[in-house]
Amino acid sequence: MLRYSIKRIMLASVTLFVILSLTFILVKYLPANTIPIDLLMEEGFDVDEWEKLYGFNQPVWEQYVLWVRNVFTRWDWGVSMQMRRGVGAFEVLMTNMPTTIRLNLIAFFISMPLGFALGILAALRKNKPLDHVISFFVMLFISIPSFVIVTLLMYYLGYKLGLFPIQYPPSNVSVELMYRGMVIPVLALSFGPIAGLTRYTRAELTEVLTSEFLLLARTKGLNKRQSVLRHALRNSMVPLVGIVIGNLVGIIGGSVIIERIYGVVGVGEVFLKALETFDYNVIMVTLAFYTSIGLIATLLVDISYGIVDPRIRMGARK
Amino acid sequence: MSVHNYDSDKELFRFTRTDERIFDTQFETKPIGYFKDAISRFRKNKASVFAFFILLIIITLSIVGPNLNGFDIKYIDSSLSYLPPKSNTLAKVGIMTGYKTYPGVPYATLERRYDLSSIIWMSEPYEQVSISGSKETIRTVVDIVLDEYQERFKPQELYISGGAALANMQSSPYYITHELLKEEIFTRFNPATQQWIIRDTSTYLVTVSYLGYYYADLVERGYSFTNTDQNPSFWFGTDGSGQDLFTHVWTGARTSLLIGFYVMIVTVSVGVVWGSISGYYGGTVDLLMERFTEILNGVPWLVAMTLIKLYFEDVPFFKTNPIFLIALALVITSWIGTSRSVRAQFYRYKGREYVLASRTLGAPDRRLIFKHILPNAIGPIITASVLIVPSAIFTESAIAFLNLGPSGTIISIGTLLSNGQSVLLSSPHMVLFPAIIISLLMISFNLFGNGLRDAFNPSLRGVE
Repeated sequence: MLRYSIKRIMLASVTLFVILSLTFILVKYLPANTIPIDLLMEEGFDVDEWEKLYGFNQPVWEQYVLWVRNVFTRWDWGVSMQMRRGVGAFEVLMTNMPTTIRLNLIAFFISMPLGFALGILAALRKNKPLDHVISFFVMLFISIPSFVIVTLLMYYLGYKLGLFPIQYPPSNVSVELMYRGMVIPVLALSFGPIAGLTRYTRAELTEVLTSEFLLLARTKGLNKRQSVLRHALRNSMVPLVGIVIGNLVGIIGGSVIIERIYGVVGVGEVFLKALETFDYNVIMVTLAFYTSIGLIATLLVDISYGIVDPRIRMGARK
Repeated sequence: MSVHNYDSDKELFRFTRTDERIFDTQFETKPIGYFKDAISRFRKNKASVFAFFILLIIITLSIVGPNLNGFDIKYIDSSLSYLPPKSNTLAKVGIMTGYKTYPGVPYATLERRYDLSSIIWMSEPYEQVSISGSKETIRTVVDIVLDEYQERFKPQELYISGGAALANMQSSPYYITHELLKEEIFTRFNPATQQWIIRDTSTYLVTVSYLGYYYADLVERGYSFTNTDQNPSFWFGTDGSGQDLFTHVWTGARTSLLIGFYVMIVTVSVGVVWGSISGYYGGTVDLLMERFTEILNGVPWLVAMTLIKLYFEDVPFFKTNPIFLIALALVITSWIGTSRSVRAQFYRYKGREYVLASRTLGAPDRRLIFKHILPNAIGPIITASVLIVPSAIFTESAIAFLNLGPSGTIISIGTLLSNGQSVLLSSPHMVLFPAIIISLLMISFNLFGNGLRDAFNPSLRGVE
């Protein structure tokens, strides 16, 4: 298991490196890859030093070598050229990180217990009215795109009823307004995970509930409550661990669309702005960030499956 | 204990049915094949069948819908902008009446702003404090419900100068109600520019009314009509350029479905081939192919879209067919899911005894793949090919929403939603209808796909 995990981690790192190298080269071959003029005009700006540091006006492969060296030796992801001139790209990303993490962490802690509870409820009352109601809403919230949900929330809760601000309030407002401003994005971020988790939990639990060992548990004299709590739930929770871990890692990524629509200044906003203004270094650092999150999530899910069920060995020979 | 000797006791036995010969009779029922079995199981799933019919309706409407109410998709008329939805039939039961609520209209200027007969309902006047800078102003305001169509199409008084065309009527066809003046000053109507040419050079005050959507046609045929009968009613309302949203929504649905369809074709063909090879051969081949998919999968679709847009937008083919550009961006990662499920099926079945038996008998790889293992993946492939459509539609909308798509004029559900977003508070119908359609599409595709998955899942065989 340890060997498998180490192998997977190594492979994921290689993948990350390849993706970033490819995108770096693809992005760098685009036009407008120069130092902005007004940065050149700024006082105390040393062109020679920058050329030495980041290799401007040099072939792309030389810039690439420099970039890799800077990242590995000094954790220097370059400098923002457009969004916040002269500020480190990594720092630009980090300034917006807390907002995204805060919103998504709240959404996570709301959606996890709710998803589990609803899934268990639906599985225990399978094919009864309660199950149908839950399954109906699960289908609804899995299907309806998040941007439609957040738009409707903004219109009805924000505008029609006037309960919450229509746009995410800036950071310098009162505490009360800040918390009210978090309601709509948190709701929009929660619906999807709740529905997804409910569906998974229901599916897993119903499968376990029909298995033979549960029948045995009942036969040997446990009542329904005992058999469900001690045998069914424990066994059905195991595959869900991977999903929860995946969601937890995904938290840092946030939702680009919801952030854009509700005007939340988070990580997604950095990414979109960087793409719009072609702020290369910021694009690269956000890209590295998103890619690693994705890879780490898959990695953790796969490894946790391996731990949980040793029969699963992805990559076995024919 | 005595042993009975059967040989000697022949009289204990006798032949039966010596008069007829007995054969195995043929089954009177027809054999149920894999697909027939799946279809019969699918039929039992009421929700999926319902979703299938909703899908059929949406697809039909996306084909015929744009021509249903006679509005031209290219027609631009600024005087028709942001009209609320109105249907003459449904207005009788009180929905889609073409009314619009205006909160906080200054009471003093109410009469000057609106035709009072167009106001359907008015609240009690109340005071509203507005703060601009450090100055506070208190105004008496009312909330009103306005018949937007009547208000917009009310006759207007206009000063028009001779010697030139009616400049302010260029975009909107208006009907000059003053017959006498019309004969005197307007010598002829120029159908090419849709303008009346004025003969003399003095200025006149005339009353003009909105002529209606079918203007040019009617004028050419010499119709006489009363103005109000010709007022159009837009079922889903209009957008900022006065274009009919109903026509646009169905055209958009058509685009979205087409993109989903293109993505589906590529996804299935690439995914099946890739997944089969990777799953069947395993080992190093699988490892390398998996690394490749992992690298592709690791690229966020936002980046894929941006890079593809920047690199390929100027290619002539994509300039004329911008939806293929979006389809290309979606295809880059979409086939990975299909290939993974095919690969998983191969892993599950390639070690089975029947495959081993076939291999022992000398079957080549080709036969094992296509004849013995791939048919097991048909179910997942069909399911995946249906489920890829809603995800393609979703991603397309998201791309449009974030303004990352090609800058050409694509009418898709996503671009409509994105346009509506900016006027959400004043004209919610611009978001509402595309939102309903995309939600319906997503729900029914998902339900239909899930129904197919359950129907094709062989592990459910014999259950129920």
